Amino acid sequence: MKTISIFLIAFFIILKSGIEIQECNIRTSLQVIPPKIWYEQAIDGASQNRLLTRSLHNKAGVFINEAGGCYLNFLSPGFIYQATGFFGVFFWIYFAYRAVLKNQRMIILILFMLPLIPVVSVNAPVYFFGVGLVAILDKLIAFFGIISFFKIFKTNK
Amino acid sequence: MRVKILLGLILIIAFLLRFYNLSENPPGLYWDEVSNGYNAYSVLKTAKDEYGVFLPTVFRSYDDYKPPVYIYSIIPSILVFGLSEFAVRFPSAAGGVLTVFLVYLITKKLFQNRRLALFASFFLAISPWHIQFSRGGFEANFMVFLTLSGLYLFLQSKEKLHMLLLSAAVFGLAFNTYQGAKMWGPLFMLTIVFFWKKELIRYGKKLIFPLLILALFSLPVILNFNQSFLRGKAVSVFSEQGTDKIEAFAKGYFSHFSFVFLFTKGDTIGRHSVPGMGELYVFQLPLIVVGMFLLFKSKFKNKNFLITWLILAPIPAALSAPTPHSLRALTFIPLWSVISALGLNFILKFTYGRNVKLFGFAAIFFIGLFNFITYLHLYHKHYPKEKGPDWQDGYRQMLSYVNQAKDRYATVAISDTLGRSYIYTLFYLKFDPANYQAGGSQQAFDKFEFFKYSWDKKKPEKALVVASTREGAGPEILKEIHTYGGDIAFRIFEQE
Repeated sequence: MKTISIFLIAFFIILKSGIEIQECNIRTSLQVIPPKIWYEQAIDGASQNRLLTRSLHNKAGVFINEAGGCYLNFLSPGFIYQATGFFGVFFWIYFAYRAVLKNQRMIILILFMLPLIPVVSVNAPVYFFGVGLVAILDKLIAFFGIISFFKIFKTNK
Repeated sequence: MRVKILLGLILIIAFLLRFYNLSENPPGLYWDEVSNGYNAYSVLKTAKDEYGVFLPTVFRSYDDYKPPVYIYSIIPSILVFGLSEFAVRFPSAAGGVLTVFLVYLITKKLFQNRRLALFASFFLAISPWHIQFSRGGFEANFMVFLTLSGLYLFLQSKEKLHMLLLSAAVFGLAFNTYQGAKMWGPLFMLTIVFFWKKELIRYGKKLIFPLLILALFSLPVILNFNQSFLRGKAVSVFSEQGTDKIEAFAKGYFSHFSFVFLFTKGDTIGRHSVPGMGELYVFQLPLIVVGMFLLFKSKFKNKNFLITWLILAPIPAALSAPTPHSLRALTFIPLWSVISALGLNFILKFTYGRNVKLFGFAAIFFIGLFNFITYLHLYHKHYPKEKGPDWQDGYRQMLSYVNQAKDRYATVAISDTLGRSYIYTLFYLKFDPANYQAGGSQQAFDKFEFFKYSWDKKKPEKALVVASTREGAGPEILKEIHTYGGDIAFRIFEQE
């Protein structure tokens, strides 16, 4: 029964497809900076203290917000769901949780580095290749989660 | 004593953030707020709603049949402050401040830790998500306040039946406050029953009384069953054609845990979040990651209740479109504060080395301060300029002019292209509800007529016409009405 469950879950994870994502990487984050700063400074108006405007709406802030959003997108349960499906999210998170619990720093580092593959890409084809790669690696992580989860199940028994 | 002072300070911060400039920002009343306000005024003056229904248990409003509790809660507020923006928003804002206090009490009760409770209430006090909905007359925010009140009374009810009865009554009220509560209320109550079943069983036959109270409060929904679920059906993912329902639900569900939604972009609906911010502060991200880990790892006895709450909270929002939806997922808010508090509490206790601890705390403090200042700037400077149209900015200014000029004209024709102009006219002119009920309609009452795109003059006397920018204006404009952002909302002219 357990073996069948594992195979079924793995099957669902492999079959999951259909990632809908817009290009969001360093290139798009840099592109956003000038219009966004212009827009926000226009709202602040000329009467506002310049220092305040510059400290709240600056290139570094806009870039960090945009690029940070792109990076975090790949660690979000929403993306992991798109890549691995419902069970995949559970086992992905379980694997990450176990890694933290066991203080497996290398695994934690890899999990945090994965989103950088698409985010640092400089053009659209490389970006979407990176997205596909992260999706496949997410599936792999979910498989590791399954292995880890069912092992524990066994030892508890 | 120190805890009381700190809690007092947190409540003062919560009060200031929710009440400062409440009438002006958000920069106009959204049409649901106006409808709630005028129906409350109508009940106050005539004991009937705008349709002439005596003390309704469900308000027909725009044929969306609104639950009654928030509307009735506005009545005392109108009695004190008069029919105004402040009066309509007061129950939600006051509920928001009290929710901060309730989060302190509940966290203290669940974790037996005052410091943690202070942190949790502080995070809620400054939460952009919670401030956003406390400052608008949102029923959902009031529902969260009532739900937490019900939970706190329940936690206090050990061996005290009267507390349990009170808790049931408050949950019953929450059930009749917001459309989404019809889904969330039963889910949340079942969760409580599941985790405290042993305590509940001890009451034995006495449990029949709280159950009776709950049954009594569910009567408005049962008696108006067809109407009560109209809104739910209209926004349900299951009523959308040509989509994979399960996939839509799952995507919607997980979208509420999206870091982009929570920390960088927020809700896309203008009324629901401040542009340029997430629903939470960026500095909360590491605290939430640590707090979440601790919540799952810890062995304290109520953790499963909180985890279940966390898993269930996005379900009502995920069943509808669009997603993520910060209003329908509002029941989430207290949890994010508690989880952030768990993270901060851990970091403060961290014994990795004094310098590391100091550096970590200083980094969180300064990033947090920067986030908070940015939020205040975005909310008070940018938000009214950028999101005025989402709040129907312009109606108040326009109707203030119409109120002064109306006596000189036989007819006042007002454009309806911005939506629901009849209710704005009733609200801002404080039109006598008895007169409106006697012969008014959404198309015309008294000397007012409402039109879309073109208006045909029927009387020979002079008329005052209010046109939106989508309609043509007369050659001589009497007044241009501008939004907070400076755009033209209406043009007012005479027609001979």
